[in-house]
Amino acid sequence: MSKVDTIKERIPLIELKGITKAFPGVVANDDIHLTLYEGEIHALVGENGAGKTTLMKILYGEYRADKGEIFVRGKPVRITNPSVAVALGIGMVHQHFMLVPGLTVLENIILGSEPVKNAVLDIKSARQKIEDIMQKNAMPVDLDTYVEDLPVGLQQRVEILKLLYRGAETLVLDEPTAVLTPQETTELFKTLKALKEQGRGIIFISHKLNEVLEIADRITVIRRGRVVGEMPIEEASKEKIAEMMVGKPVVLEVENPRIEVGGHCLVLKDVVYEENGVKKLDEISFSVHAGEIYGVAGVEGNGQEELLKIISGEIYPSAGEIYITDKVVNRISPMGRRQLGIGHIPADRQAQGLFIDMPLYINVVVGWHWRKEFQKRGILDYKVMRSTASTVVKNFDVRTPSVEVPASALSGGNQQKFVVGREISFDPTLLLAAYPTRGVDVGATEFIYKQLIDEKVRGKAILLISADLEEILALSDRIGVLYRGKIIKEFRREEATPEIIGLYMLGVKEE
Amino acid sequence: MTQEQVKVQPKSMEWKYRLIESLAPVLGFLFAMVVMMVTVQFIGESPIKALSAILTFSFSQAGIAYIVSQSIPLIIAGEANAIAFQAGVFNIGVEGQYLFGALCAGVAGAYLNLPTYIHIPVVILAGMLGGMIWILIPALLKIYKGVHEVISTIMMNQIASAVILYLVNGPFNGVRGVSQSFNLRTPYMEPTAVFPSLHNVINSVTGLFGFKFPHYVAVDLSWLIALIVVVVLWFLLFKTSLGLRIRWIGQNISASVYAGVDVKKTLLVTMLISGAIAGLVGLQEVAYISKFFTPNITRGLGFTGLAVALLARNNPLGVIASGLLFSFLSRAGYGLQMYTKVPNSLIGIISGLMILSVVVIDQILRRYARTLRRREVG
Repeated sequence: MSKVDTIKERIPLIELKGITKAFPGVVANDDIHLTLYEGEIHALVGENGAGKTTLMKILYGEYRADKGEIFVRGKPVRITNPSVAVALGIGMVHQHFMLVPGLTVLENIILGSEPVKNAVLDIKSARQKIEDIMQKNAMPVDLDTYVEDLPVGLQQRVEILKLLYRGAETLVLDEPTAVLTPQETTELFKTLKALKEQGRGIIFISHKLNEVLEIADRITVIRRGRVVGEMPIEEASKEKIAEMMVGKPVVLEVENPRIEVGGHCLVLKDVVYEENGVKKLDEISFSVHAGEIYGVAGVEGNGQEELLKIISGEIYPSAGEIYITDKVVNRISPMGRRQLGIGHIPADRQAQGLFIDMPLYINVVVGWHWRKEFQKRGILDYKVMRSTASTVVKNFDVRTPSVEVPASALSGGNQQKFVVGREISFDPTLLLAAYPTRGVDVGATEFIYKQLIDEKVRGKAILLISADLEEILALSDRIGVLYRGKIIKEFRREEATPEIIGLYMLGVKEE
Repeated sequence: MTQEQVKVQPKSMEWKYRLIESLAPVLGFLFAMVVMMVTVQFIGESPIKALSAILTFSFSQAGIAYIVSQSIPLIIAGEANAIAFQAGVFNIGVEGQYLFGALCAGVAGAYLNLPTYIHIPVVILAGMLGGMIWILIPALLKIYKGVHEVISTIMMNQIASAVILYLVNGPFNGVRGVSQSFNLRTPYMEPTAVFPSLHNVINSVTGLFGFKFPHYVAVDLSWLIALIVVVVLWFLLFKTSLGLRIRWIGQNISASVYAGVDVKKTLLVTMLISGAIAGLVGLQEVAYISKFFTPNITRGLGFTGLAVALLARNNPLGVIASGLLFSFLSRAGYGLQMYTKVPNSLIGIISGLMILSVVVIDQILRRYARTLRRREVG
């Protein structure tokens, strides 16, 4: 009670009152109220397409609201474009970073507001200013590194430094943890807490309820463009938020029966992959049977990418053997392996899984275009492609006006459902599922989980690679921990707990 | 539940978005025209007079005939560039490829003795082969060594200029004597290799509308070749599996690799097709108009072809329209020069401006359509 009172006494940094924004056919924001105080982390949660991003774009001046008012420190403002927002101390970190890879960290930070002294770029004072900011917030980055050489976590830090350099008091972070490893997330949260202590306000958009509960002071839940609940963190629980978000109780504990396993579908035997003398994969051995999900747990960057590529055929092993249904495939091309029956949900749907500017009826054959039903003597059968796309859209609940629209018109969650649906639809014997629910909302996540489990029950072998430990535990029958290019430990689901797996993931325990 | 959600969706406005996306060339052209009129005013000439000069000079019987005829090499060059662009390849080397292809065709026409129904196809194939040979080195360099094709094809253009000079001066010289350096050329082609005129065929059709192509305008087999190239390319790109793969690698290499496309092979095939088409560009001039190859052959068609393809947004059917447009523009330039004091070079500026504005407007419209789509999906 007392805490609520103290919050009320503080000045609201940002106040959104009655924001309404309609697009043809849909009301994206319907009379939304949102208040952000100084020194507060305010989580904005909701399903994909609920209207969070629209709301933030209105705050950041990328869209204009049809109705409603915005107050900054109690004064009504009209935010007509992002530079007005920046001038008002509002900064936004987009989900996809807005950095120039070929410039250094320093150059990226000052880009757009370069300090000038006597008509000459004043790098020295900029450097000083940035170093002060970094020191004050304990966010060190090497200013002379090129951004393209930085891991994602540090790139995000650069984005935040950019905002602080421009004097942002309100920071909007759009799904900041979607691309981060658990360690990087921890680091980010430390930073956010430090920023909060200085009195800045942070709007944190996320799907991951655990994180929301860990970091936020208050939570606003949006569903179908309306605020369905606002609560201080003390009153929130995972189940409660999830229910508000989707409007029905979500079973986050999915039912996952263990079934009788069949023969080997995928076997790796002492597989080594060397790149420039570094062993990215180091004598990896494991197997996946028909009717089981094998989860690969591990901190990102421990060989997941190479493991996927070596199984899908994008790279060939330096030593060891890979079998797909008893056939050695070491030197078989990606196409040849797909023809053996590999389905592959890629790690990045936008960069790999879809041709974003092409319509869905073309995207439905990505990776499967060689199949007989899609072509006769090399000539495409668009009729079959369209009907296949419609089937995927229908069976996998992809929300789209038609299969004629380009993939870019779909929201992230629907793109992912489409990719998952496509890869399952062609009845693969082995399914590679890489981060299958990354950046996807609770409802879609649950849906995708069910689909994967259904496939397993139907006797498919599934290799699951994920950074989300909960996901691994919910889905896998067996779990291998990948650490520095090695599977250092295997668990059956029953023996695994997040704590123990965590210790192996971080290399604290080794066999 | 699923069916219910499908029903709730509003009726798609997809056709409308497509229309918006395809407006760029039209708007770009209109914009360029407006700028031209303003510029003409600045030069101190009446825009109305300039416009009427253009119209009367271009849309007389002879004007139209020239525009159509001279669009043929532009269309073929545009197609050579368009297919490369579709795969994300910048074939700046169409210029060199058609020079070398035209030389090969001229040589095949002059030095071989064959019955006409074999000789003409051989001449055509020689042109295509020449173009393919000239793109092979840049293609291999790109695929195996990662050398960017813009650099290697530009260099190949320079080499082509030198090589054809050497070959026509040396082994394939058709004139000996004093006038050699002025009339440098290969020997005349055998009558069996010369392209037949299609005046009768074409005029019997256009005659129905009261239009005849005069005899001094080239109406020949290259028209048919251009038509076949357009149709085949359109079919290849949009109806076949290979075409789909070509468009995929043009859009996103890593998604193509994920999809199991053999990117190197597809790139090689695409570049060879582009080179083969480029080898056809010079055939109208070599095998019909002059009946020999000369280093003084019309230059620059490869570069205009880049613009033709860009304006058509690399659509093989659109290339016909944009080829005609560029042919019209060049005619319009002469019209201006003859009847007004506006310099011909203004047309060059206007063409450039048109390309620039089409590219910019295209991006704006695409983004606008994307926003509309997103709003619809919600």
